[in-house]
Amino acid sequence: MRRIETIVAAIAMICVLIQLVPMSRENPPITQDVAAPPQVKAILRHACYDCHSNETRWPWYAHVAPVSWLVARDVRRGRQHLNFSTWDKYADDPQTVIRKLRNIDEAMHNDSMPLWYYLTEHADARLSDADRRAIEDWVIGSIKGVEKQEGISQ
Amino acid sequence: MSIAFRRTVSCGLAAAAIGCLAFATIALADDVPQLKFVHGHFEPASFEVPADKAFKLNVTNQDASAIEFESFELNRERVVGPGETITVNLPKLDPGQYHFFDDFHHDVPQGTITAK
Repeated sequence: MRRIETIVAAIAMICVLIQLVPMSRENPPITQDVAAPPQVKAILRHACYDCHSNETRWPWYAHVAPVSWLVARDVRRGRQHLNFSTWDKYADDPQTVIRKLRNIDEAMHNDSMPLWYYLTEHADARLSDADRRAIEDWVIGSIKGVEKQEGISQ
Repeated sequence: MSIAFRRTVSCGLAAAAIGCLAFATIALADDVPQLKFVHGHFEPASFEVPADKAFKLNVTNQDASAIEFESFELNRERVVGPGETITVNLPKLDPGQYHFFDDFHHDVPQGTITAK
Protein backbone atom coordinates (compact mmCIF):
# COMPACT_ATOMS: atom_id res chain seq x y z
CA MET A 1 0.00 0.00 0.00
CA ARG A 2 2.83 2.37 0.88
CA ARG A 3 4.48 1.56 -2.41
CA ILE A 4 1.33 2.46 -4.34
CA GLU A 5 1.04 5.69 -2.39
CA THR A 6 4.61 6.52 -3.26
CA ILE A 7 4.04 5.87 -6.93
CA VAL A 8 0.87 7.95 -6.98
CA ALA A 9 2.64 10.78 -5.20
CA ALA A 10 5.51 10.63 -7.66
CA ILE A 11 3.13 10.76 -10.62
CA ALA A 12 1.29 13.69 -9.07
CA MET A 13 4.58 15.50 -8.50
CA ILE A 14 5.62 14.91 -12.11
CA CYS A 15 2.25 16.19 -13.34
CA VAL A 16 2.76 19.36 -11.35
CA LEU A 17 6.38 19.85 -12.41
CA ILE A 18 5.73 19.40 -16.12
CA GLN A 19 3.31 22.33 -15.97
CA LEU A 20 6.38 24.48 -15.37
CA VAL A 21 7.90 23.64 -18.77
CA PRO A 22 7.57 26.86 -20.78
CA MET A 23 5.41 26.53 -23.87
CA SER A 24 4.81 29.15 -26.53
CA ARG A 25 1.15 29.83 -27.25
CA GLU A 26 1.50 33.07 -29.13
CA ASN A 27 -0.39 34.24 -32.19
CA PRO A 28 2.08 36.24 -34.31
CA PRO A 29 0.82 39.13 -36.43
CA ILE A 30 -1.20 38.46 -39.58
CA THR A 31 0.79 39.89 -42.46
CA GLN A 32 -1.59 38.83 -45.22
CA ASP A 33 -4.62 36.58 -44.92
CA VAL A 34 -5.13 34.23 -47.84
CA ALA A 35 -7.71 35.42 -50.37
CA ALA A 36 -10.67 33.06 -50.73
CA PRO A 37 -14.43 33.27 -51.28
CA PRO A 38 -16.42 33.72 -48.04
CA GLN A 39 -17.74 30.15 -48.12
CA VAL A 40 -14.26 28.68 -48.50
CA LYS A 41 -12.81 31.06 -45.94
CA ALA A 42 -15.43 29.95 -43.41
CA ILE A 43 -14.50 26.30 -44.00
CA LEU A 44 -10.79 27.04 -43.70
CA ARG A 45 -11.35 28.95 -40.46
CA HIS A 46 -13.30 26.13 -38.86
CA ALA A 47 -11.19 23.24 -40.05
CA CYS A 48 -7.69 24.55 -40.69
CA TYR A 49 -6.92 27.87 -39.04
CA ASP A 50 -6.16 26.55 -35.58
CA CYS A 51 -2.98 24.91 -36.86
CA HIS A 52 -2.40 26.70 -40.16
CA SER A 53 -2.78 30.36 -39.25
CA ASN A 54 -1.80 32.97 -36.69
CA GLU A 55 -5.39 33.01 -35.41
CA THR A 56 -5.11 29.87 -33.31
CA ARG A 57 -7.81 29.32 -30.72
CA TRP A 58 -6.01 27.93 -27.70
CA PRO A 59 -8.48 25.76 -25.71
CA TRP A 60 -8.12 25.11 -21.98
CA TYR A 61 -6.25 21.84 -22.48
CA ALA A 62 -3.61 23.72 -24.48
CA HIS A 63 -2.49 25.03 -21.09
CA VAL A 64 -2.22 21.61 -19.43
CA ALA A 65 0.91 19.54 -19.95
CA PRO A 66 1.56 17.10 -21.55
CA VAL A 67 -1.39 17.68 -23.91
CA SER A 68 -0.22 21.28 -24.31
CA TRP A 69 3.05 19.99 -25.76
CA LEU A 70 1.19 18.09 -28.48
CA VAL A 71 -1.01 21.08 -29.27
CA ALA A 72 1.94 23.48 -29.42
CA ARG A 73 3.89 21.05 -31.60
CA ASP A 74 1.01 20.62 -34.03
CA VAL A 75 0.48 24.37 -34.30
CA ARG A 76 4.18 24.99 -34.81
CA ARG A 77 4.44 22.33 -37.50
CA GLY A 78 1.19 23.38 -39.11
CA ARG A 79 2.35 26.97 -39.43
CA GLN A 80 5.74 25.89 -40.73
CA HIS A 81 4.22 23.85 -43.56
CA LEU A 82 1.35 26.19 -44.41
CA ASN A 83 0.27 29.47 -42.90
CA PHE A 84 -2.86 31.20 -44.23
CA SER A 85 -1.98 34.34 -42.24
CA THR A 86 1.34 35.03 -43.94
CA TRP A 87 0.39 34.35 -47.53
CA ASP A 88 2.50 37.30 -48.68
CA LYS A 89 5.63 35.42 -47.68
CA TYR A 90 5.01 32.89 -50.46
CA ALA A 91 3.98 35.47 -53.05
CA ASP A 92 7.49 36.35 -54.23
CA ASP A 93 7.80 32.81 -55.59
CA PRO A 94 4.61 31.93 -57.47
CA GLN A 95 5.62 28.30 -57.87
CA THR A 96 5.74 28.03 -54.07
CA VAL A 97 2.19 29.38 -53.95
CA ILE A 98 1.16 26.74 -56.46
CA ARG A 99 2.90 24.02 -54.45
CA LYS A 100 1.13 25.07 -51.24
CA LEU A 101 -2.21 25.05 -53.05
CA ARG A 102 -1.52 21.60 -54.52
CA ASN A 103 -0.68 20.34 -51.04
CA ILE A 104 -4.10 21.53 -49.85
CA ASP A 105 -5.73 19.75 -52.76
CA GLU A 106 -3.83 16.56 -51.98
CA ALA A 107 -4.89 16.73 -48.33
CA MET A 108 -8.51 17.02 -49.42
CA HIS A 109 -8.21 14.11 -51.85
CA ASN A 110 -6.54 11.71 -49.42
CA ASP A 111 -8.54 12.89 -46.40
CA SER A 112 -5.37 13.46 -44.39
CA MET A 113 -6.61 16.75 -42.95
CA PRO A 114 -7.90 17.74 -40.46
CA LEU A 115 -5.97 15.37 -38.21
CA TRP A 116 -8.23 12.69 -36.69
CA TYR A 117 -7.39 13.57 -33.11
CA TYR A 118 -8.16 17.24 -33.77
CA LEU A 119 -11.64 16.18 -34.85
CA THR A 120 -12.29 14.40 -31.54
CA GLU A 121 -12.41 17.81 -29.86
CA HIS A 122 -13.55 19.89 -32.82
CA ALA A 123 -16.47 18.09 -34.43
CA ASP A 124 -17.39 21.24 -36.36
CA ALA A 125 -14.06 20.96 -38.20
CA ARG A 126 -15.13 17.74 -39.89
CA LEU A 127 -15.31 18.36 -43.63
CA SER A 128 -18.25 17.20 -45.66
CA ASP A 129 -17.86 16.12 -49.27
CA ALA A 130 -19.29 19.48 -50.30
CA ASP A 131 -16.70 21.28 -48.13
CA ARG A 132 -13.87 19.34 -49.76
CA ARG A 133 -15.22 20.04 -53.23
CA ALA A 134 -15.48 23.75 -52.42
CA ILE A 135 -11.86 23.83 -51.27
CA GLU A 136 -10.69 21.82 -54.27
CA ASP A 137 -12.53 24.16 -56.65
CA TRP A 138 -10.97 27.16 -54.94
CA VAL A 139 -7.52 25.59 -55.16
CA ILE A 140 -7.88 24.83 -58.86
CA GLY A 141 -9.13 28.32 -59.57
CA SER A 142 -6.34 29.89 -57.54
CA ILE A 143 -3.66 27.86 -59.29
CA LYS A 144 -5.03 28.90 -62.68
CA GLY A 145 -5.04 32.49 -61.51
CA VAL A 146 -1.39 32.35 -60.46
CA GLU A 147 -0.37 30.61 -63.66
CA LYS A 148 -2.19 33.17 -65.77
CA GLN A 149 -0.72 36.07 -63.83
CA GLU A 150 2.79 34.71 -64.17
CA GLY A 151 2.42 33.42 -67.69
CA ILE A 152 3.21 29.91 -66.50
CA SER A 153 2.15 26.98 -68.65
CA GLN A 154 1.83 23.62 -66.91
CA MET B 1 30.07 62.00 -93.52
CA SER B 2 29.56 59.26 -96.10
CA ILE B 3 26.74 56.75 -95.83
CA ALA B 4 29.24 53.90 -95.64
CA PHE B 5 31.03 55.57 -92.74
CA ARG B 6 27.78 56.17 -90.87
CA ARG B 7 26.73 52.60 -91.49
CA THR B 8 30.06 51.34 -90.17
CA VAL B 9 29.78 53.50 -87.05
CA SER B 10 26.19 52.35 -86.46
CA CYS B 11 27.16 48.70 -86.78
CA GLY B 12 30.08 49.23 -84.45
CA LEU B 13 27.91 50.89 -81.84
CA ALA B 14 25.30 48.13 -82.13
CA ALA B 15 27.96 45.46 -81.72
CA ALA B 16 29.36 47.26 -78.70
CA ALA B 17 25.88 47.49 -77.15
CA ILE B 18 25.24 43.79 -77.73
CA GLY B 19 28.62 42.96 -76.27
CA CYS B 20 27.90 45.02 -73.15
CA LEU B 21 24.50 43.41 -72.77
CA ALA B 22 26.00 39.93 -73.11
CA PHE B 23 28.70 40.74 -70.61
CA ALA B 24 26.15 42.11 -68.14
CA THR B 25 23.96 39.04 -68.58
CA ILE B 26 26.87 36.71 -67.94
CA ALA B 27 27.98 38.77 -64.96
CA LEU B 28 24.49 38.80 -63.47
CA ALA B 29 24.05 35.06 -64.11
CA ASP B 30 27.28 34.45 -62.22
CA ASP B 31 25.66 36.23 -59.26
CA VAL B 32 22.83 33.71 -59.06
CA PRO B 33 23.80 31.12 -56.46
CA GLN B 34 23.81 27.61 -57.88
CA LEU B 35 22.71 24.78 -55.62
CA LYS B 36 23.00 21.19 -56.79
CA PHE B 37 21.51 18.04 -55.37
CA VAL B 38 23.84 15.19 -56.22
CA HIS B 39 24.46 11.76 -54.73
CA GLY B 40 21.89 12.36 -52.02
CA HIS B 41 23.13 15.66 -50.68
CA PHE B 42 23.17 19.37 -51.42
CA GLU B 43 26.25 21.00 -52.88
CA PRO B 44 27.29 23.35 -51.48
CA ALA B 45 25.85 22.48 -48.10
CA SER B 46 26.16 26.11 -47.09
CA PHE B 47 26.72 29.38 -48.87
CA GLU B 48 26.47 33.09 -48.30
CA VAL B 49 24.33 35.75 -49.91
CA PRO B 50 24.25 39.50 -49.37
CA ALA B 51 21.70 40.53 -46.76
CA ASP B 52 18.97 43.02 -47.58
CA LYS B 53 19.00 42.19 -51.29
CA ALA B 54 16.43 40.06 -53.09
CA PHE B 55 17.98 37.28 -55.12
CA LYS B 56 17.29 34.16 -57.13
CA LEU B 57 18.58 30.68 -56.41
CA ASN B 58 19.05 27.98 -59.04
CA VAL B 59 18.50 24.46 -57.75
CA THR B 60 19.57 21.56 -59.94
CA ASN B 61 18.65 17.99 -59.16
CA GLN B 62 21.28 15.67 -60.56
CA ASP B 63 19.86 12.59 -58.87
CA ALA B 64 17.50 10.02 -60.34
CA SER B 65 14.51 10.80 -58.14
CA ALA B 66 12.58 13.98 -57.41
CA ILE B 67 13.45 16.10 -54.40
CA GLU B 68 11.55 18.83 -52.63
CA PHE B 69 13.59 21.92 -51.86
CA GLU B 70 11.93 23.33 -48.75
CA SER B 71 12.73 25.93 -46.12
CA PHE B 72 10.42 26.97 -43.29
CA GLU B 73 12.51 30.05 -42.57
CA LEU B 74 12.48 31.15 -46.21
CA ASN B 75 8.85 30.11 -46.82
CA ARG B 76 9.74 28.17 -49.93
CA GLU B 77 8.64 24.74 -51.13
CA ARG B 78 9.51 23.50 -54.61
CA VAL B 79 9.62 20.10 -56.22
CA VAL B 80 12.64 19.51 -58.45
CA GLY B 81 12.37 16.59 -60.83
CA PRO B 82 15.36 14.43 -61.75
CA GLY B 83 17.64 16.33 -64.08
CA GLU B 84 15.63 19.51 -63.61
CA THR B 85 16.83 23.01 -62.71
CA ILE B 86 14.45 25.43 -61.06
CA THR B 87 14.83 29.07 -60.09
CA VAL B 88 13.60 30.09 -56.67
CA ASN B 89 12.83 33.75 -56.01
CA LEU B 90 13.91 34.89 -52.58
CA PRO B 91 13.25 38.22 -50.87
CA LYS B 92 15.64 40.46 -49.00
CA LEU B 93 16.91 38.56 -46.00
CA ASP B 94 17.83 39.96 -42.64
CA PRO B 95 21.36 38.96 -41.59
CA GLY B 96 21.30 35.46 -40.21
CA GLN B 97 21.13 31.80 -41.09
CA TYR B 98 18.34 30.13 -43.02
CA HIS B 99 18.07 26.38 -43.33
CA PHE B 100 16.77 24.33 -46.21
CA PHE B 101 16.19 20.61 -46.66
CA ASP B 102 14.82 17.93 -48.96
CA ASP B 103 11.32 17.14 -47.71
CA PHE B 104 11.20 13.96 -49.81
CA HIS B 105 14.28 12.50 -48.14
CA HIS B 106 14.52 13.38 -44.48
CA ASP B 107 17.85 11.60 -44.10
CA VAL B 108 19.51 14.18 -46.34
CA PRO B 109 21.53 16.68 -44.28
CA GLN B 110 19.99 20.12 -44.33
CA GLY B 111 21.79 23.06 -45.86
CA THR B 112 22.30 26.63 -44.70
CA ILE B 113 22.11 29.99 -46.40
CA THR B 114 23.91 32.73 -44.48
CA ALA B 115 22.83 36.27 -45.23
CA LYS B 116 25.56 38.80 -44.39
